[in-house]
Amino acid sequence: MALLEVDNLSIGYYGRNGLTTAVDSVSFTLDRGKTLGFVGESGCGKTTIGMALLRLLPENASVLSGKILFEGQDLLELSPNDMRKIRWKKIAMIFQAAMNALNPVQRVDNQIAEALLTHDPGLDKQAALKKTAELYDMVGIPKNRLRDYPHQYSGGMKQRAIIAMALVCQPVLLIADEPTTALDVIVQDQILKEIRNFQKKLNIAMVFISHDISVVADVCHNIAVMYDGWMVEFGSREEILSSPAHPYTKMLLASNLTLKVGMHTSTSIPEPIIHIERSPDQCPFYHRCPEHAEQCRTDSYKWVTLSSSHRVFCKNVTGGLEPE
Amino acid sequence: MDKRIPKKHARAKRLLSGWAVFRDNLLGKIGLVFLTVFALMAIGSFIPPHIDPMYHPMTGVDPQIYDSTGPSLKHWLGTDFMGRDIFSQLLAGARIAFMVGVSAAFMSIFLGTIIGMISGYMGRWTDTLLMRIADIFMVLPVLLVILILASLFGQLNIWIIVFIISIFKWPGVARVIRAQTLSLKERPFIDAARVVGASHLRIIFRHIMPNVLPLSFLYMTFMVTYAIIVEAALAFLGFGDPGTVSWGMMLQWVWKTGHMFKAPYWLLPPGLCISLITLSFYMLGRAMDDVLDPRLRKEKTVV
Amino acid sequence: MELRRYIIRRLYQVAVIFFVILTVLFLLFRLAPGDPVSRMVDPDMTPEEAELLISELGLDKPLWIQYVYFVKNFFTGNFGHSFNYGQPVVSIILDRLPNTIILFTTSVILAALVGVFFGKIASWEKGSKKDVWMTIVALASHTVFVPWLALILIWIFAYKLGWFPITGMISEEVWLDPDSGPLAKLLDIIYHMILPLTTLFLIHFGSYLLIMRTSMLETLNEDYILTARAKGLTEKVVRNHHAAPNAALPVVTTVGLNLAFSINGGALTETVFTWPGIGRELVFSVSNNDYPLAQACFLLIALVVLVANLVVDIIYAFLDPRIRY
Repeated sequence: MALLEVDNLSIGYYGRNGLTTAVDSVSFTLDRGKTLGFVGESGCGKTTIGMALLRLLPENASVLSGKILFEGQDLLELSPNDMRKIRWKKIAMIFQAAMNALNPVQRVDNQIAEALLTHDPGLDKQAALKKTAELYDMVGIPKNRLRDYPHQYSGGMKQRAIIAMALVCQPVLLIADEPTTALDVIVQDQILKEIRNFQKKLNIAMVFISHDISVVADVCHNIAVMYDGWMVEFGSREEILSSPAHPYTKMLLASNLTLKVGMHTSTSIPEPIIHIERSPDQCPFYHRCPEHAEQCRTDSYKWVTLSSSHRVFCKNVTGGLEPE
Repeated sequence: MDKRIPKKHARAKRLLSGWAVFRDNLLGKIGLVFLTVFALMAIGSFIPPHIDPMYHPMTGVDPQIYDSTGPSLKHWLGTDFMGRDIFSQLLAGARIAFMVGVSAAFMSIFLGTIIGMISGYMGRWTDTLLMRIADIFMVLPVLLVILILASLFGQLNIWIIVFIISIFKWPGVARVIRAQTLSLKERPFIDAARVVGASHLRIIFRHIMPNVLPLSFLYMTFMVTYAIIVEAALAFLGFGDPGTVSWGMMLQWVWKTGHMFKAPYWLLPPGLCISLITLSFYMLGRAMDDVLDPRLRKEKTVV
Repeated sequence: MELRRYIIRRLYQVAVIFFVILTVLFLLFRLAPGDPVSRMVDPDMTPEEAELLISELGLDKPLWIQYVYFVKNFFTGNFGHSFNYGQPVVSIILDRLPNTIILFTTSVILAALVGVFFGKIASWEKGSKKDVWMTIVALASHTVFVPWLALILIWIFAYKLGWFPITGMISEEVWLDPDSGPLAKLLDIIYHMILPLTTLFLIHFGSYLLIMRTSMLETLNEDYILTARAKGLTEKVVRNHHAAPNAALPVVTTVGLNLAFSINGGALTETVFTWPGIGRELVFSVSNNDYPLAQACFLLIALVVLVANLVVDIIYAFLDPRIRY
């Protein structure tokens, strides 16, 4: 059984102008010990998915439909108290903009130990602090920085501390939301290497969210491409990189110069995502798609399966096996 | 908090977020209503003496009354210990309040904005010096300073009082304006102006000032409040301008003539007015704050 | 360690500011219209006493020497002789100062604690009836005119209901009675202190409540609160252990910023309640042209405000590690 099975998840936000759909009918599975990357521009809904997995959506958000099955249980049906028990113990998260993710008036080791103590009340404080120290070894922060306050850490150190904190309860699923975006490139590289190491060593399943496809490609077994709330392509790393099927995926890859896999002339993606009113049958990517055709506006949607692990949500794709 | 939300909860959520906006507006509206009433009172203060000289707040004396009396048809709020009409005194007090409040506020905002801009823009020694001076003024309680000055120079004229109040209040404004100036200083449009060869003065007044003015006006409401209170407190203690009839003065009369327990119609109105006008300006200021703040945050600059 | 350096730096600032104030006051008193000598020498003194005082204060010497005398006298506690009381000013000051400090400190601390507590609750239940009422009460009490509030409280609770004394800090019967022990005396003081304390409390707690409320609402949007929730902490723990300590910091800052204003209110309250503190003494001495006393009271109040500012800053540095390290 897959560790995580998300089925037809839709999430909306209530704003001044009514309900905006941030995530639209997204489904995917994730096995133990594997990594799944979500990639797309800001506003495509990838962060929302991450938050939904921990049921940490803001007050004005609402799950419109779908199930999130974790180890067989639907997380959306759990009581708040039961969900609390799962948080961090089973599913942990590394947040976007982790610069402010630590409480500025508490010492870092106390904050990390707090996670342990919350989920294991029998544990005594000394033991918790000791475990924290061990984790610092693992993430590579000198132990003499344990008693410091967050503002005394550099950006990379803070991120490492956040990672240590996320791993302290030995979760089976880790959600990493843009963990390296706020860092400079060299530190980014180091952190990514370390994340890869932990993931392998501790056999943690991971959902890795990023707008940078090269980063995702570095770390993930499978990649899901998101656009404007829709998942538009899903496949293994190799499949996505070497034979992308969706035009948006192709654009993402092409605009990324750091990939070593077949570089073409760099193209930039025209205008950012604007949520436009469109008829339900029209493809969300229609206006920016260089390959759009008439049927993209009218034919009904379906996933096109390209292989056992590769599917694409496009009406204009060629070479599909057994269209559903 | 994020489960499937039944329809009625969804509607409640929408109402809640709308209510916050409405409520802040309501606060401002109430404040405005009160202030209008007070303004009308101030304007109306010129009328009573014309109706009958006995209604003059300072010198009018009802020939038939020798002591404090309660409300009556002739005297809506009664009379004070000298037989003067309390209601007309109240109206006059409104006039003084606005006079004192607005002038002191204007002066301190004027001073504070200019000093704040210069301090923030010039930086270094100028900044340090000006802010140190500001520190000194901020530490001193205005009321007590005026008391000492009164002891040395005798009874102070109302305009001197206004002047001193503004001298002691500019630091508060200056600090805020300085902070705003500091953040504006880094913006590209300032660099652009410098490259074109604009002088410092021109940059300060042509480019920085329009962007800090909304903040200045916001602080004006707080300054008005402050000035009114200080003048009232001074008058209450007996150090106000004896030629003016202000609400604080009225309270002093009630207190000093021992009528405070006997004459609620005399004790209550002036204090109530001072408190309400303070409240109204405060509410207005808060409403303006909420309107301006997101705008300031969005950094809409006037270039 | 940084804390020590911070304190030293602030002490230095306090010293500088105080010296400036001292100097300005000196100049004011010497250079204002009128005879400066008559301002320092009690007209009721005998000529010999006057001579002695003049030489003590150096009033017959050039201005800059007078300044030196002035500073020296200040630090040796020689403020001259009160015209009104016929006693050395310093003894009056020493008698009055503790009274002010007791009243003032207690009211500010109580107001801060209560304000923070209810501000926190108001933010949790934002938009509810409780919140609205708390906000209204806070606003109203914050903007009410201090002496008027004091008079009204006296009128209702002391005059009409007779629950509390109308004025003063102590009842003579209690203090003159040789049999009354320290507890009786303490209770007597507290009995007299309740109304003025309530007045000061009401004036201050409103602004603290409002600030805490706003601060909590902003803090609850911070990233580290999200982290805390993600860690599986209960809402209660998140609010009390993570949000509130951060949200309370602006309240501390506010206490510091408003100190000068608070002293104004304190002086007014003391005057109305005839509470024998420094504020009231200042008002009293100015009304009576008791220059030496007025001058000393003023200087001391300035010093109190400066020191109070320093204390607040230190407390803040203690609470916020970002300042210390």
